[in-house]
Amino acid sequence: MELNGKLEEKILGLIAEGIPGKFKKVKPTHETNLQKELGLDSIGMLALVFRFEEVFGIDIAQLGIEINIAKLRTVGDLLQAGQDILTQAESKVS
Amino acid sequence: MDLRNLTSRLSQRRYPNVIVTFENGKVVRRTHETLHTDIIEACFRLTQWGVQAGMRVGIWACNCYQWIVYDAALLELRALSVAFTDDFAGRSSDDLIEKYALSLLLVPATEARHKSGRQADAVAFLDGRNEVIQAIVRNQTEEDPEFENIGLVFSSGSTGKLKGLKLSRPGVEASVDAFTLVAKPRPDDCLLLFLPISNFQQRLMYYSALWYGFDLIVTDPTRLFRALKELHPTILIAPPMLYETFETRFYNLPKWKRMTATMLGNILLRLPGKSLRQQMARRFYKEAYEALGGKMRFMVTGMAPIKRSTLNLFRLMQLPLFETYGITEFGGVALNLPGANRIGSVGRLLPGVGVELAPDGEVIAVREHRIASTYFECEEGEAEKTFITRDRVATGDVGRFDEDGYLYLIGRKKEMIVTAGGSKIHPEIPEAEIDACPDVARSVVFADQDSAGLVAVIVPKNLQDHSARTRIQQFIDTRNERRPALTIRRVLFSDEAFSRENGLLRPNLKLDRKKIGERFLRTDQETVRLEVARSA
Repeated sequence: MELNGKLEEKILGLIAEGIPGKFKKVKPTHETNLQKELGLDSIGMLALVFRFEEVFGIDIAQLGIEINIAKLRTVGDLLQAGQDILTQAESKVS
Repeated sequence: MDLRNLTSRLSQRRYPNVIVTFENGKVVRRTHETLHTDIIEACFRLTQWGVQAGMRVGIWACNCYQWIVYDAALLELRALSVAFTDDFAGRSSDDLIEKYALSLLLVPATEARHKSGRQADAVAFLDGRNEVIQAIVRNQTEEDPEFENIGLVFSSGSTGKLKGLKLSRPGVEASVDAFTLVAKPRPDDCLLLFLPISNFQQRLMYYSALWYGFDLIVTDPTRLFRALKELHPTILIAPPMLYETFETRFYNLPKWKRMTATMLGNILLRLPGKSLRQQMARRFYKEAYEALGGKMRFMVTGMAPIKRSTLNLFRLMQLPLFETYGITEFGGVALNLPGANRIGSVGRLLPGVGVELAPDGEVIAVREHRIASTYFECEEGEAEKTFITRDRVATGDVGRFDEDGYLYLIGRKKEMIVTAGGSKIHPEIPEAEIDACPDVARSVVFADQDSAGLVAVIVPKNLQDHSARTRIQQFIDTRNERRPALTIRRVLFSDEAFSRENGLLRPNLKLDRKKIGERFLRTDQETVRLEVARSA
């Protein structure tokens, strides 16, 4: 399972898929606010989480992993959550 | 339809319809026959707990199978359901039981904290083991031999304050029947519900599925995209935000891919033969079709205005998205349909619905039975203002019809502006004209008290591109020449998009004009005063 650098690149790619036009010129950093600066609304976040599941071939709910979308405020939060989910998924599978 | 016979209707079903839910991460399918058995068992439990006809029973839970089972069981027992929405988060069970005179409150087993209150015996788990449960017996003041009032629901008003509505059974039945008559669901259809079923619109839809016999997927929003892709629904009802997510993804494709897809879509639209067009569209827009499960035949949106560009994109992709209009107090009013769809309108009136346009253009919806008989909780005077006669509801929306009977919503009556010159203007008219500028994400127009004209607050699509502001100004100057009666005399640019977080959109994602006016007109040291034409 990939972590860190490659993981960050993949998640940033997934975020980029869902950024509405008027926010496209913002260059995301770890501190960038997902909603205010990148325009990802609640449904945009749900779509992003599902794309994450598809890309990494996991089902977060089936693995019994809790994810609170309301707490994911920044790109950094999302990267950390992605890493945590994959670590938990790896430990549950093994 | 007769909701009093909903349970027995399920037992007569010939087609093996199912209800699909996600439970502990797994897909669970139950037939209508199983649902029928579960409802009968729930009736038995409720009766054992002392629930009788006319008692009020609260349901306070997220979307789940048991919500539907107990809702149907309460209908069967002729007890009144009281559906608590997310707006009640943080309230105690004792508080709700006392305030709404409940005899029983049903909560999920994960909310065990509600069993520690003074009224613990009147709190039962929807899905867990229950020991001592005793419904509270209260004096019933209203006789209801025909079970006309089936429950209480809550709805967020345009001000964000909760309104409580008394549900009328004949009104609910009329609304379900009207939708079903025109949408013509088939036994092999499958409706996906993901918004909270404590919001009554969703319950209307599952009443339709259970009565008329088609499949139902009930999930919470976190499983929405998985449910779409993997459970292959054929009917979807969702707010514009969902469909706009697809548009965003389309516009984030590499430019060459997007332009090719657009070009091919435009060629497709000119091809003769619907089935050939659809076959080709499935191939060209494979990803969008797959994301929607591949079997979608009827998607509906309402609740807030949808962007014209989103509707156009779905049309380009030959994906059947239709705009509708309804209000909680009344039920569905109008709906676009395959073969009777006019983009920009909310469709033709549903069967049994009439609309009168008041002299100021307000849509007065007319139907023999409306969904809500009245409010039981609202601001003073609101019930009289809304329920103007037994069969008429003042919607607060201003509309017009075209010559073919399609209804177009122009704006909210209370948002009509009066210029210093005394002209009454619906701001949505100049806003739609300004929004046609490719550089504009959104505009909001106010009366400009100083100049007897109008002032526009504009969010550019690209907030960083300052040259866009010059182009927007030029666009408005050209427009002003064409529309002298609606001249925009001043333009104020916003450096941020309107959102719920910055308070410039309401919780229902509609513009909060008052706050936008306060923010931009005052921060700009303007003396513009907003004249709001209040209803007489």
